[in-house]
Amino acid sequence: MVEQTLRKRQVVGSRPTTGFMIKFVNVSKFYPPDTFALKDINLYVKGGEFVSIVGQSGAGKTTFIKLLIAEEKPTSGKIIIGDWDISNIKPKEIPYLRRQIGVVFQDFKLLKEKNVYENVAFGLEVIGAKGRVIKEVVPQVLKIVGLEKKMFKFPQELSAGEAQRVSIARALVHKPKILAADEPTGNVDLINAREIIDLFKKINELGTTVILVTHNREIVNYLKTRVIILEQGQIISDQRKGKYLL
Amino acid sequence: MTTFFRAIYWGLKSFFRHFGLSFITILIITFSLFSLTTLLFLNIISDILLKNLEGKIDINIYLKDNLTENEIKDFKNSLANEPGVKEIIYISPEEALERFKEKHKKDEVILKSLEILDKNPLGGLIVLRARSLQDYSFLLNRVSDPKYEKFIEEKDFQEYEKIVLTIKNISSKIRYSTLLIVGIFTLISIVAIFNSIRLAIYKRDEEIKIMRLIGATASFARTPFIVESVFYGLFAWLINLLIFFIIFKFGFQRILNFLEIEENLFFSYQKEIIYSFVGVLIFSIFLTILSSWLAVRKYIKI
Repeated sequence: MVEQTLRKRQVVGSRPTTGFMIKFVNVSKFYPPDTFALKDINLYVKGGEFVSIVGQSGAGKTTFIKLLIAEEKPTSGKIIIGDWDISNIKPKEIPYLRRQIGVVFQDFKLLKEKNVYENVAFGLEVIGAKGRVIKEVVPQVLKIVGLEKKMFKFPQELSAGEAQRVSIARALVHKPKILAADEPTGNVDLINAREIIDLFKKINELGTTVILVTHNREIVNYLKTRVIILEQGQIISDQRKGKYLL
Repeated sequence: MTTFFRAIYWGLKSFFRHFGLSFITILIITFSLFSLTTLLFLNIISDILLKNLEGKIDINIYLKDNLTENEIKDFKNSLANEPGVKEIIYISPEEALERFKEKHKKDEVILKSLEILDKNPLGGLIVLRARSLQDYSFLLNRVSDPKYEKFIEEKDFQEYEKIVLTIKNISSKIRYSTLLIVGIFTLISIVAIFNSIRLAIYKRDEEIKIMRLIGATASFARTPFIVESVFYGLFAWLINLLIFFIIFKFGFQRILNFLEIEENLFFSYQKEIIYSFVGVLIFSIFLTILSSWLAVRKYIKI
């Protein structure tokens, strides 16, 4: 499955890189008539880094994630993932980009009529993984997120923390190079939030680049990793072992 | 291949999940297929009717009774050289008399009158058949040529030509009307399939959004809906087949009797009947793929 994914990557011209995994070069995103969601962003993230992007509502955090997964195109500037310039990515190449980036959302985005196992398997089914691979990989990933005993429960039978872990498992199941999380702890209590962040740290230690978008001060300060602060679409601080200062 | 079979499986699952919703669409497609099948069957029936009638048309030329055998032979040969002649049958006066007696064997007055006469009152008869319907008027003109006057006592051309033309005319009008009905139902079917698929897409909107985010290609997201619509077409075709099976079983004999067509003759067109049903199946699949393709192109963007 991993080989298959890598093959697809090469088809569209990207190669695994040991240098910068994500490059934003003078990136701006303008929404008519007069809103700059992001303005002249220059940002370099190395492979295997854990980066928290913080800021208040409207600072441009979600726009950053949207640009990263090519849900939006930048108005100007360049976005490079690995050595793949996705600034003007063709629509048919977008699915192959998204197979490199696992995304976790605040509202989990789980399918109610599918159980935990099926929700995670869905992540592999849509990229054409064989049934045999799915049967082998899904229980492994559910074990990583600590849900191996709840694989036949439905989303409505899970706590918010558990639902978010299912969402993380689905994002991880195709072994992405980057894991982007948009306010993943927004709907969970502090204890569950800590568990989720610990899970991200574990994933990061296994080599995945993690981009965490949050406005949760305690979480950011607990992490003690690189922190980028956005304000009105601009980077106002970028610290190696930063704290949420606002 | 895994992706393709998965898309078919999902399409099938969705079809049965939304069967209630799809049922009206299936019925509308069935109307369209029924009218198309009827149109194809009308073609077969009118072909049989016309062939039947064309086989019955001939020109009877009654010969003068004073002709010698050589004169009759010459006349027959010159008719055979006329363009458009398919067949010439000569019936001798003796044979004509035998036939006449056989035909009127229950009419004693006629039979006695024949006995009173000391010679055969009937002359020979030439039966002329043309290659095609259009050739009859030409041949009638030809046998009216003054050079043949000395041979001919009387000509008899029953006006089958008009009947054939009327049938052709009626069947062509019926064909056009049926074609119009097929067109109307096809358009309604396209709209109905489009709407059913649109509703199915709305129902699975969340799933499609998630698919997009986790790397599904546009074709993967779209294929299950196209597969689902193909199942509409297949079901409608099966219902149509069942309707015609019931018609064949219970009502078809009456229709054939009414049209004076032998059942065996109709079923000698077995190849055409099978082709009609296969053609309707291909039409149905094409119709569903086209309509659902329009819907997924419009509503599923990756």
